[in-house]
Amino acid sequence: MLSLNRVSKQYGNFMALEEIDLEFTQGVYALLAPNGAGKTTLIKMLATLIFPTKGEILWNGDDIIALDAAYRDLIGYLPQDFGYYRNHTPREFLRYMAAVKCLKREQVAQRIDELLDLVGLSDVRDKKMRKFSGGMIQRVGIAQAMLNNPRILILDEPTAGLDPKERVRFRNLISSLSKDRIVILSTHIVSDIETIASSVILIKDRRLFAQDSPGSICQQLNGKIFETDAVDDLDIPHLLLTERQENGQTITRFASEQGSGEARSVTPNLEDVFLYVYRDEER
Amino acid sequence: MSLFFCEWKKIWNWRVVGLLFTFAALMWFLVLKVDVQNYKTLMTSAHYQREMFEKYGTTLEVEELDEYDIPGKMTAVEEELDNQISSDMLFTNHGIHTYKEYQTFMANGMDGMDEQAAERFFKLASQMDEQLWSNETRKGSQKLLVPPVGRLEMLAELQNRYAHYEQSSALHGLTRENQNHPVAAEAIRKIQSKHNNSLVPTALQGSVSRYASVVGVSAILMTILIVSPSLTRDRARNVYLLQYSSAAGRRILWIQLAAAVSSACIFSLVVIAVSAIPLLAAGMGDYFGVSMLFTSYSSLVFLYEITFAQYVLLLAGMIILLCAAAACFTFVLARFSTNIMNTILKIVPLGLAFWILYLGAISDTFTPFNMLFSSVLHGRMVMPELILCVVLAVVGVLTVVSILVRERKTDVSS
Amino acid sequence: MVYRYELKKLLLSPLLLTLTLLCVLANLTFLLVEHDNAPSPRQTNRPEDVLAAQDASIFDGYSAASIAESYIRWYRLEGTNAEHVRAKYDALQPVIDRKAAADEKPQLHFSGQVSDVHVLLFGKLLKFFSQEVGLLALLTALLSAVYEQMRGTESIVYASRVGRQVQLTKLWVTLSASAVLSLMVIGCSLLIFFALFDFAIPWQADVSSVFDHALGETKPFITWNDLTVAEYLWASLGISMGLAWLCALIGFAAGTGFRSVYAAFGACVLLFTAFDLVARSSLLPVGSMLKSAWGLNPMWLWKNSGTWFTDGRAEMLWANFERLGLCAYSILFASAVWGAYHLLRRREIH
Repeated sequence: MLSLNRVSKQYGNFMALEEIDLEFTQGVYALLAPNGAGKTTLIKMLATLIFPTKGEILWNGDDIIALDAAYRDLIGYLPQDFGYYRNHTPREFLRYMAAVKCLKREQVAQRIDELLDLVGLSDVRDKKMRKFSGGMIQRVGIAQAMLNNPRILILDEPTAGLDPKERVRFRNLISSLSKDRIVILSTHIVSDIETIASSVILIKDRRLFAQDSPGSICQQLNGKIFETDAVDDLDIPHLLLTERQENGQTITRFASEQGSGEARSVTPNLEDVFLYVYRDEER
Repeated sequence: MSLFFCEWKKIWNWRVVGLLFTFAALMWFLVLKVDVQNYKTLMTSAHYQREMFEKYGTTLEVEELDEYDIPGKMTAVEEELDNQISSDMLFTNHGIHTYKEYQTFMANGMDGMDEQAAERFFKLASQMDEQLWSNETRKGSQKLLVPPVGRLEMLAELQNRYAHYEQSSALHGLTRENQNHPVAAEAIRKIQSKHNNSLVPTALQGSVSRYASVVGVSAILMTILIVSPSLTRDRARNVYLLQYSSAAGRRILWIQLAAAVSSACIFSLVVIAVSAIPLLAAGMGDYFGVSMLFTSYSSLVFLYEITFAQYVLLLAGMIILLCAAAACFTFVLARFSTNIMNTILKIVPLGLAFWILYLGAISDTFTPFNMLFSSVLHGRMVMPELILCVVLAVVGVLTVVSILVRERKTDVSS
Repeated sequence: MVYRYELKKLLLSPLLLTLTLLCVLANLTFLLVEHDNAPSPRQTNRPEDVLAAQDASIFDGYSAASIAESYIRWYRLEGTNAEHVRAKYDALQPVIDRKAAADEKPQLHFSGQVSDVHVLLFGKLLKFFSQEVGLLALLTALLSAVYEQMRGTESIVYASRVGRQVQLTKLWVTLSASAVLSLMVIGCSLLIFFALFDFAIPWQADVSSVFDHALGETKPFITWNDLTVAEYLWASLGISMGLAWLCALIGFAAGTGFRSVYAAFGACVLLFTAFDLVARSSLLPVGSMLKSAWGLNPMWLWKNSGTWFTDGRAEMLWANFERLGLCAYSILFASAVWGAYHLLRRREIH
């Protein structure tokens, strides 16, 4: 089990995260928060790239900093800004990553082929990466994160740059991987979380705001989300969420403590929760 | 214009200024200060020449030479030396009572002596030499800072330089090489026609040349260091994609080039101006009007009939041209570098090339000892150092311009 | 396995290979110019010179104190500084006496151009390539230390099992790559040298008795240890290689310790400038311990490559100063590397 005990992170006078308590067992954990809320800080602490100012992060009761290589051997990490060697082929690059992950030599070739196949890069495995699209590079990144078959997979904005087809494939992949490991991912794409996350973590005002399943989190807004095609007629306090076009009409989705006139109640989704919870930040 | 200043601000920041100050402090305290002190020391042993300069101005005409009466002064100093020698037991114990006898004693040397006698002679000669040179050096008066034997040497040199310049072996030697070194031959002809009348101090050219080499090489190397990161940083962080697709478009490269070259020129100008202050404080400014063309110690020291002020201006101009050329080449290398480390690996050989070029082809500027003038061109070209600097600057500008013109049609991929 | 990949990164770097080639080309140009300017061997290899040299016995009755006194006079040394210089040359006297007792005769080698060729090989070429390999090693180390930062792969590499310890592997790789590149430069330069200058070299002769003068001076060429010509050449190459490794340590410490690549490079430039300028200046008087200690730095060692294994003139007060300097500064900069590595282990990667 991976746990965070009252973890705080401070940069000079700026407090990025404050007294975060979290526990990760098995499944997909989605970090949901607006930009600058501290998602990447938290992810980087889990990847041992930065260190908590206060508190501790434990793996099965041991501090991950003290565990050092033993802990890093358990993780697979895909950073937000993923750097790579432009003159390497995916296969060469993954071989290098296999070396720094101390994989056994005899396993490397087969594992790389499997992963390249998995992320759909088999055809270009021996092509230089300098010509690759953003999505292809992201897939190489996902492959390198999974090279060591990690117990903890940490993904920072993993689906950024992927097209819808690739994203669906990636979601399925994560879903299948999460059966016997911890997957921690941060993303802005709410649909990714809704389908695969077993737990959603919301951070607000530098602190942990909520941690629950997507369904439970959405339930908090049950009866508070409405849709109407006459938003101008609304005479109750409300928060505008989204708009969409339907049959030539503009359907507006809003949150309110009570219904009004022709507005119909709808089932809340994570996007509604996100917009509702972070309404102050969005103002 | 504001874009130009933005690019300027990218080159110049407090860290760069701090680095420059540290480097300048090191250069001043450890090299240049010593050079200035050396110049001052050399000038204290040139007070007869200074006296002539103050009395007669920038040139010494024949009648002025007669009036100054160098032989008379030499006789007076010799008498002073005779008195010194005759009252010193170290000399009298060995039968030496006059300076003439001392010279004869030294000239006979170790002829016919066995090893032990030769060693004894060597030791004695050293002691006598030391005695003559050190006897009066520590007396307070400025005039007596140089002992009589030193003053006699100075007068002998002046006599050789102004009265016997036509018999100078160097002049004759070089005249025989007229066909090979036409520029040197022309210089000799001019010296002969004006009776080698320049009252420029012998130490002036050498001191300025050495000083300019240190300042020049430092300015060029610092220019390369200053100019290189700004353009590369834009490329490393993909800012150039935003720049190229903005209203300014690829024209920004021209602005960046202007910022780099103007930074190089202004920086070198400031370096030259600041480094000139100690030289002016040491009194070099007094000699701005003197001609640099002269012979000394039987050799041709300078090749062209220009004044000291013109010489200094030409040196400054050459350093500025080289800094501009270095900025252009650095700009080209930075354009083809995707990160700072790549740039470093390219600017190191560039810096070394400029360093070697300066020491090999530019230093000893306008003298017959300049390697480009003597070894490569065999004295056939006038001021080849200056021409080289101009050529380098032109080549630098043409290279960078051709790259920038080509850049207008270049596909950009991140 | 990481070692192999890291080594490949450096040895296949086009810029490093180009720099190596440039070094060889520079040496080739220098040797070609020297070859054109060299006088014909027949002019100096006169039979009477050979006979005169065979009769001479350069160490018989030679007093090291006379070298000390000439330096003391030249630099006008007094007091403790003069005593330091005298003490060093007193220590050299037994070495001279031993060489005199062996009654070795100077031999004419290199087809008679003893001094010229000695100056060319040990005074100039050795100095050039030792400086070149030092610079190459410094740049190799900088490149190696900042490679992941440069490519933006720091985060994935540091989050891997090897983690920041990859920097230690990179250190060994840097030393190996520096050695390989240095060997390429030195090997090619020496090959060109021996191809251009056709000498019959008596490899087993004592180097101290072969060359009659120290470089640029009138005193005899005396090494502290009994070295043959071959041993002297190998020892000099060893010091060159050692200096290259020392530069690699400096570059690696700077590259690892500084977050900015350019700051690391600037720090190296400033350090070497300070090494050179302080040694050149009159801040530290000749004969003082401080001057001697400062002179152990790589810049001074490079500039005085012709004095390695000899007395090292008045500036240097200790025997075997080149090995001493190499060891002292290697320990210093290895400590700097260790410090920089520990800084890196605690550094936050954003």
